[in-house]
Amino acid sequence: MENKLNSESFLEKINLFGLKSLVISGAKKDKLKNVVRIIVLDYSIWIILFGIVMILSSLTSRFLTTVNLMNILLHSSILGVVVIGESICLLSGKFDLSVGSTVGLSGALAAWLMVTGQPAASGWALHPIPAILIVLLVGIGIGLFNGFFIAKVGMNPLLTTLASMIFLRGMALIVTSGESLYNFPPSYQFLGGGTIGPVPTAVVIMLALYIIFHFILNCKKIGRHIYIVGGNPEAARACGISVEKVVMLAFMMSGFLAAVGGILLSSRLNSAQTISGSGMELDAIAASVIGGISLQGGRGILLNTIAGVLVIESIRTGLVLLDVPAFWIRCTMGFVIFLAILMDTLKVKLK
Amino acid sequence: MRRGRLFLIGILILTTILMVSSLGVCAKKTIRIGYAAPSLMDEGQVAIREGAYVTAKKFGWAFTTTDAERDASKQINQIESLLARGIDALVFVPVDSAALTVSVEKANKLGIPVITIDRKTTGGKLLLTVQSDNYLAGKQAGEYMVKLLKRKYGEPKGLVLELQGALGTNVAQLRGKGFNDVMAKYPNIKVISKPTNWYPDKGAAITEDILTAHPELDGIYWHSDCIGAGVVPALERLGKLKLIGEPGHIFLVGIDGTRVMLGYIREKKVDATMSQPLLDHGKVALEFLRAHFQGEAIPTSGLVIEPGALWSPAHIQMVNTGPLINLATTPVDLTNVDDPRLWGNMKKK
Repeated sequence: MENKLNSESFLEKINLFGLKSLVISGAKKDKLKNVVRIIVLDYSIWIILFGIVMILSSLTSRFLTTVNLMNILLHSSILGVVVIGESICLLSGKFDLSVGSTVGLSGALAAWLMVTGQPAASGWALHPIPAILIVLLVGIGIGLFNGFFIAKVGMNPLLTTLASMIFLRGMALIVTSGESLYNFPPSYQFLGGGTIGPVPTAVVIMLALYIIFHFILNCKKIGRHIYIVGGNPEAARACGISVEKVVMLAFMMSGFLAAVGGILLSSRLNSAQTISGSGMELDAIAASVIGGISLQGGRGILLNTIAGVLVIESIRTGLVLLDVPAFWIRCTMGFVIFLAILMDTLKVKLK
Repeated sequence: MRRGRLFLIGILILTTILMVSSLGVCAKKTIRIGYAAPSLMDEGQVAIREGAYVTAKKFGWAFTTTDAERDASKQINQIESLLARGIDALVFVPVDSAALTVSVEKANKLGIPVITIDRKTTGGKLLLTVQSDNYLAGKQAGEYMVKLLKRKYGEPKGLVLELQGALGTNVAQLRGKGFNDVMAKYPNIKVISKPTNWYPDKGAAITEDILTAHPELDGIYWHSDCIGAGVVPALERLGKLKLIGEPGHIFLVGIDGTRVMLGYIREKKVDATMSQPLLDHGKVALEFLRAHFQGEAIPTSGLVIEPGALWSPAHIQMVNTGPLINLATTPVDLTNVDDPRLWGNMKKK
């Protein structure tokens, strides 16, 4: 009796970490075997990350140093935040190509509102807090716009967000007049450039957002609905879930998180450029998929996408530390992403 | 079934190993330069890097290159990785002058000397900035244009179109000022100036419009050969591209000295281009760096002369980040277009 209770509470605990498949197979007898199987399959990206860290550390003594590990976390933080939003969109069965441009526009808008003494800025010299609020609202608004036309009007998500990607990049160009806006107030610089103790602020923000959105996805109704809508929209509709509302909310979260990413990026660069964040949408999709989020929607564990981002950044940093010629780095990155997706596909087959 | 599964697991393990097997080797202790390129898809940037790389090898220094793919945040990350890796000096071409100040400040904090090439950062402390003398390039282009007009009319007069870069940039301002300071001396030469934002298609469109309005146009001067790369085909399309010496030839003079433009000069389509000493930027930077390592101070004013070098004489001035050296540009026309020292003639690897 007691034994059973223990294993049940253990299951519950594990479920908190997003082990959906365990609950389904939980009724079977050999639970321990299942747990191992699931950890290996569902969390294999962490094993890969561990392997990569081990191999890089054995190749160069400079890899496993506090400075370098903090660097990798810091380099991961902005992409990591954007990846949360992209993953939520992918989980709901859609796509968001506009995140990179939203990052660019958010930074540009923040700079335009706050920066003083440059002709391209607004000259309002807004305090960082209202400026950040405005930028976040604009991010949510972008998500609402995308979500409305995709969910309610039924436009194709790929093409809709492709159009907003181009449009928003153009908006960033208008806001900055094509110039770099720079020199933010110190309190704003703290977000992306400062540290809390030894840990960069941006890393703390990223981890906090991961925890919040992990909680929303796994312990809130809306989170479960996102999984169901992404897995099978017809079934979701039959269950009385408002698919439109769920998709719109997913896009709003994506827009919000991209805006946070834009704030962190501009703060870290202490400047905003028209082209900031371009290409980030593809990095975000790559990291999500490496982290095991299914492109078909409804399947994947958000926390694993941190590992996806860390894999990308560890390899990027590792290649520099190992003096790999720059001409080879791009090829290597493409190759690594290809292998990750190959592994993901094989994993699904094993399951 | 079981064997199939083992096979799949085998592939899983193999791919994990493959994911990291493409990584390189460790290096021994020598002076190491970290070189952060803004983009290795731009031929000018490849030339600058090549010059620095060859010089480092000559000195027996190790050299690590990164490629930021025109992304400022990527370049900042890469410089952080280079600093964590351990380098003795940082040499780089900033993707963005404002954003990369962050990296310079970080290197300053660690006491690593920093040299920027092609442009400086807005802040931070730089050991040196090496760039082409853009004012001189504009002036040389102006003088060349005057010479051509004099030859045509017997006196300096005519109508010239100036295709400007992006007006907000320092480079376009200097290349414009150098040219217009010369033109101001000749009241009979009229200059029409139009911004192109460095875009070849925009340069082509403006050329077409101006030629419609002013068919008598005598010459075109562009701030960068990347603009000219759009203008020459546009003239060809309009049937206005006559070779040098043919009646109706429009004088074409530019700045940069790209491979494409040197080709046009050989074909007698373009009159001249003011070549930047791109292969020497890295060389000059590393020579000053070596002097710094040997305890010599970097001069803050005056001329630097090296007989026989394309970049000489160069003049040094003091700016907010530190000393800045302006390397001379070289007018290139049919008489010297095959000079192997020109970066546009650099051998393709």
